[in-house]
Amino acid sequence: MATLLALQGVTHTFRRSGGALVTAVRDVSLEVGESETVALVGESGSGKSTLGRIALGLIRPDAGRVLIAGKNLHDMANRELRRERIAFQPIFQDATASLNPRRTVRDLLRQALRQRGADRNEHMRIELLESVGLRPGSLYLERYPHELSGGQRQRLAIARALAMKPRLIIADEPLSGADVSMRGQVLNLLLDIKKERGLAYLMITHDISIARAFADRVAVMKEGQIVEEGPAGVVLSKPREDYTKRLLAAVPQLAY
Amino acid sequence: MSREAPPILRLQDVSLTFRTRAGAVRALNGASLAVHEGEAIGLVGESGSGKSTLARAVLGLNPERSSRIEAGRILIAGRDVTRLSQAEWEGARGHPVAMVFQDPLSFLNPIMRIGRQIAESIERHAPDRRVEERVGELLALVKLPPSLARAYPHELSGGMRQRALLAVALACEPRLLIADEPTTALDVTTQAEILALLRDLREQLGMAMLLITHDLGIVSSACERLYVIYAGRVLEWGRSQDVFGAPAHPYTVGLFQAARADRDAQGRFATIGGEPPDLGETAKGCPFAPRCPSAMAECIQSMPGVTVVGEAGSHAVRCWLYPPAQDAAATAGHVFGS
Amino acid sequence: MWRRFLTYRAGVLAAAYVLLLVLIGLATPFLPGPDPRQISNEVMQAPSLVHLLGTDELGRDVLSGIIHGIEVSLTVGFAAACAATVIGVVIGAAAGYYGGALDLLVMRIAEMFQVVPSFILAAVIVALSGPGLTRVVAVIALLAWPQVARLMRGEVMRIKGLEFVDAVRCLGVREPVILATEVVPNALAPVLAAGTLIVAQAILLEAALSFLGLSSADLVSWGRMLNSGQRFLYNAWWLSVFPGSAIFLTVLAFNLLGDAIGVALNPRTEA
Repeated sequence: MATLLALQGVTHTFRRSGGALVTAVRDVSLEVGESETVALVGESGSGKSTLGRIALGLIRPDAGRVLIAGKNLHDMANRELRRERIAFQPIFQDATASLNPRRTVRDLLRQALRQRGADRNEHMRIELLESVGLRPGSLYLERYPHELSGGQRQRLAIARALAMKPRLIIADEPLSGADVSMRGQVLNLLLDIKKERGLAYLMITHDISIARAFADRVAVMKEGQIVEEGPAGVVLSKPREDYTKRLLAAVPQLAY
Repeated sequence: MSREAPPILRLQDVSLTFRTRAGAVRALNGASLAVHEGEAIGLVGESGSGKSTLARAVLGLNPERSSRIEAGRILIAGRDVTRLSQAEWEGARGHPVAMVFQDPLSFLNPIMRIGRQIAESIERHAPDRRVEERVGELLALVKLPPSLARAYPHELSGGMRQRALLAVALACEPRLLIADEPTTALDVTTQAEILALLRDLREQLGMAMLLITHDLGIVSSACERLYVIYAGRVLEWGRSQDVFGAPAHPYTVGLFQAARADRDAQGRFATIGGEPPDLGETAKGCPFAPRCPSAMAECIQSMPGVTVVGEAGSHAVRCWLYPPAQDAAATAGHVFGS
Repeated sequence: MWRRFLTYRAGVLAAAYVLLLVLIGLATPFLPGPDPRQISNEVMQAPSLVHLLGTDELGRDVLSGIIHGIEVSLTVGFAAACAATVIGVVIGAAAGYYGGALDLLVMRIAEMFQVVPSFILAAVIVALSGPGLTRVVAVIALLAWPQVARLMRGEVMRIKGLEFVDAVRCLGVREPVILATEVVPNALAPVLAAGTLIVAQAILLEAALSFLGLSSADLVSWGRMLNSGQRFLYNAWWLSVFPGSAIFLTVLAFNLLGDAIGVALNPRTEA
């Protein structure tokens, strides 16, 4: 299995507004292979979102390397970085915040397709919308994000990511913004995309049940470090680390 | 449970509308519910279901200008509070019903020390108590160290803030605590601590709790009974073991499957189709009908009455799949009272 | 957005007033009535049916002067506000988006302008360089851009941290394009409100400079009329009261309009 993304010894420190230094990510190494789904599990403040942003090239780490297909993201010239980074697309927790409120659906998709030099006609945009279950696509083109429901917005964000024909989708809590009844729809959509397009996922989540249902491999993050990593079946059923055990025990179970 | 004493909280067919720029929105549509002394009740719903509106209505917290209770009654310990004015509410909040919220920070005064805020709450509700001493007791009760009395809200972590807000609420010596998504903003490990604390407090103080949440896992472990609310209507209610053991309404069934992240033979996740309801349209029928896999002609035409399901007589549903009993009103009374 | 704006009634009144001023200002050359510079024998006449707002010590018609003064006030106000807004938006956006040394430099310069009492500075500059409408506009713009830049910088800093900007960055869009097409359009709303307030400040500053005699003698301006009228405050009140009211009402209208635009463009305020 070819490696798509490799983080090697990544460390990143923030300065808080008070002036105190916080090491959000400490010497983390993680790989995601072709068509593989890796869940990065941890609580808020564990550094998992920061790690996701580092992988997307949105944050430059203080130390360590971020390799896309073997090349360090931060050694690339601007032009090359812009060309290479489109292979990794984000899906954020809050679809509302991830869509420019002043652009219509058509505008948002056109912008993405154009970057790939693929915006040829309306048909392509409609096809994208329908591939994420927004049917008929033509119905949505004129709308603004705020005129869509929460579930539809998340689908639109996914459609925009797909417009770039990515090889890896880095999804940061893609379901916490969605209602319980919409979760199944979004999860199935992500599964379908994976099956149809052979995509890899880095799924950043605090929700163990999502990791359990979705991931091939699980990495557990705590205080900026990966404390346990392995096949999903093993980590989530026979955890070695105390922290993983506590995390699993804290999830409210349906008692009946 | 005693049938003689009135329940600490009863809602009877409450309908509430908000006036918005887009027109009237019916947030509650004939919602009924009862909480008895000492009970732990879950109110389960998704965003827009009306669950928070219901909780706020109990304490008169919905904006007076833009919301109106159109029908029904809200009774706190037998006292009708449906039409209280804002001025009348001022003295009535906190006892016997107090409330904590998802985001404690917006309910704590940012420039006042925690101890002072608890003290103010004590002075308002029990002025004869020895305040200093009582602040210490309350902090101990929510398992915060006494030194935190001198801290400001922003110096606390999310879990500690929720504990501080709990102490402020408990200073009113409530007989019912309404907790509106109290752990949604917290991590799972902190959430587990707060839920354990709530359980201890109820045992120690004999206080009833109405826990409002979208998380079925929390309800199943923390509540004796639950109500499932959708588009302002209570669709199903009963003892947790009965509802979880044999959910009746298709919405409840779908919700449980989604919460368990159930997958079918093809590996696909269970889903509830369609989109959440638009509360602007007042449909005659069941609000879930447009998304319901078992919808029938009746479902679109009218809202079914109450049907008791299961053996124990403590589990009821409003769904045409379960033909209503002859004497629906009596049944409803029976189930709500149980 | 319009509904919020309309709900804000004072804003609507102010907008109607400003619109009326603009129309009169544009139509001034075609309006009947005497030339405001026309000297006549009917000196110091109180308001009457012939001279609705009276005449001054040289027999010039006050109403005519006020109408012709609109042109000067609005030209100075709009030109200065536009210039200040454009300069402020560009500088503020660049400083907020790129940060670092550029930001530091720009903000120190902006502070320098803000700590100097603007009226005194304006008076000194005009007194030294000589009167002239263009100079007055330039001075006002120079004094007002830091307000806009500061506001723009804050908005840009807030918006560049939002997720939709990151999402577009992941599409491989170039940074200057992101700034121009994603960040700036979303940052403009409060800046437009501030720009409207600058119109008011500019009109007031122009009037004040003219009042001190720091404007060219052949211009008809409210400040200038007030300057010559105040000598006769006790025996010819109309020479002070009418130009003064014109200044007062116009400045007030632009302030109200600015507030209303700010409210209307802010989606978080409810009607």
